Amino acid sequence: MTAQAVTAARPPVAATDSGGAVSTTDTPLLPDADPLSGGSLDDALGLLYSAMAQQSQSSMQVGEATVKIDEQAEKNALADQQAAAAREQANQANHGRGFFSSLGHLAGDVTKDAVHLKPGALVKDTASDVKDAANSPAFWNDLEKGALVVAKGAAIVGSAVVTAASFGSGAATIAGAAILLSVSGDVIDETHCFGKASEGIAIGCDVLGVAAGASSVAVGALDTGLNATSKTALGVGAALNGVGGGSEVVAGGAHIENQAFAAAAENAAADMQHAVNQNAELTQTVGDVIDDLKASDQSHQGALQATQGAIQANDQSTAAAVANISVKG
Amino acid sequence: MTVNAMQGVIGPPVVATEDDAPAGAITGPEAFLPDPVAALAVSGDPGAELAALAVKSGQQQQTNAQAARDVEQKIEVGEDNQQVAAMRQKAQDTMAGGIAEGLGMMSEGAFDAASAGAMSSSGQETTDSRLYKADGMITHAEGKIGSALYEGAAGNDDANAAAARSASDQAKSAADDAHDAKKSGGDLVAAALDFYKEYSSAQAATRNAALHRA
Repeated sequence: MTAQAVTAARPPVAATDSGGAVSTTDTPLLPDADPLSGGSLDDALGLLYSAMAQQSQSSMQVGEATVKIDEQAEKNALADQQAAAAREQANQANHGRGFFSSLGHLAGDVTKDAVHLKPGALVKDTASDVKDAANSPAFWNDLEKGALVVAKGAAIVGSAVVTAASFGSGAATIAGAAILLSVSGDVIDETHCFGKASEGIAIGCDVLGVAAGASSVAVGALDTGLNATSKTALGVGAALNGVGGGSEVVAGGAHIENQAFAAAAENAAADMQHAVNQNAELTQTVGDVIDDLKASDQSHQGALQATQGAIQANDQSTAAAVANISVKG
Repeated sequence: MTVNAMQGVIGPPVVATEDDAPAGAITGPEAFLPDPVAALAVSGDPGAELAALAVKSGQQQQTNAQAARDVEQKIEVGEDNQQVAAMRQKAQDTMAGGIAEGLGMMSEGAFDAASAGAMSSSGQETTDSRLYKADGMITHAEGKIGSALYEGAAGNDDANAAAARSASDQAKSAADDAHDAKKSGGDLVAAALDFYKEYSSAQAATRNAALHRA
């Protein structure tokens, strides 16, 4: 202990016992010590020094424990962040096998298992491929787009066929042109194959298609009566309308599924943001704790040095007082 | 005086337990030493009083800055949570909008198919087929309207998330400022202690020199 070390290095001085009686070591010439001077004060300073050192150590240990806990929490938050990023990526519309890729994969597996006569593997692979397709955002995205194209095309073609068949063969030719223009307009609009001009060209095709459709109605009005071909065409047109409706039902279902994937991606993004925030908060906390510890340690060091200085100053004063008394004596 | 001063500055006061305390001594949570800074402040020693004043001021600054930092960090955490909540709300709105539009599409498709089925045997439209077609269009439009409403809500959620992010950044900045203020409070205390250490040493040296002369 510092006090003991300091005490050992100084000349013998009087000490008071609990009853206040003076007990001397070498000489009885020394006066009674004051309560807060000499050895008593030195012992108190030593105790204080020890207490301060202990407190400093405890603070440091508590700080280290806090930093360790926070660092572990940071690691966990980082893992959460990575998992959320992976989930977000997995739910993007372009992730996974597309519609035709899924069908091709399924067909390939089925063919391979059928050729090798493995019925068990056939069932297993089919179930696995269907499950993969159902969990693939790209599959549902393609399905929705494809179903919408089919629905739109079937509706246009069906309506046109019905119109053409209703009004005779002369109108059918014009109606066919109308269909071609309308479908072309849709294709150009979807694919943007003419670059920036695509939108204008698509609108032009649609306008021409509407005009051709109106012409076919006008021409058809001149012709009356339905022949057998026209009746068949009417049935085909109605069936196409039905197919168009069915495709739209499929597209609607696929749209819900796609939005479910989009919502899952947004939830994953929220999870990731939560993990990022947690990480930032923990980093800040660790930084604050370390800064506080540094400041506390610095303060402790200063206090310990001050206490050491006080002990030395007290010793010097005591020694000088003893020397002075001895000289006078 | 030195003992009290140093003990008080470094942290909570040292307390005596009932076991090791002499009879008549103060026990329990109360300090066995008086508040050192307060004692220094009225000691009559100008150097000690100046040091005590600086220490008190630094400590007060540290306390205030710590409280401000805690408050700002709580605000920051709250705003971060609001941002995440807004993002989750957007996900819900996206899902709801998708369901509304998807159901509208499915409904329209079903009515279209029904309309095709309700055509006459010659393939011409009937009243029922026209009604079905009209119903399909209406449900599709309803789905679109519902979807648009949810899309608008999702846009609001984006705005809320951005506002929360901004508020969180502001709170973080304020917390950093408070942290710096706390540091400077500590620096002030350290400077006061250094000053007092020098001051005490000089006093002791003077006293020793006087004793030697005597």
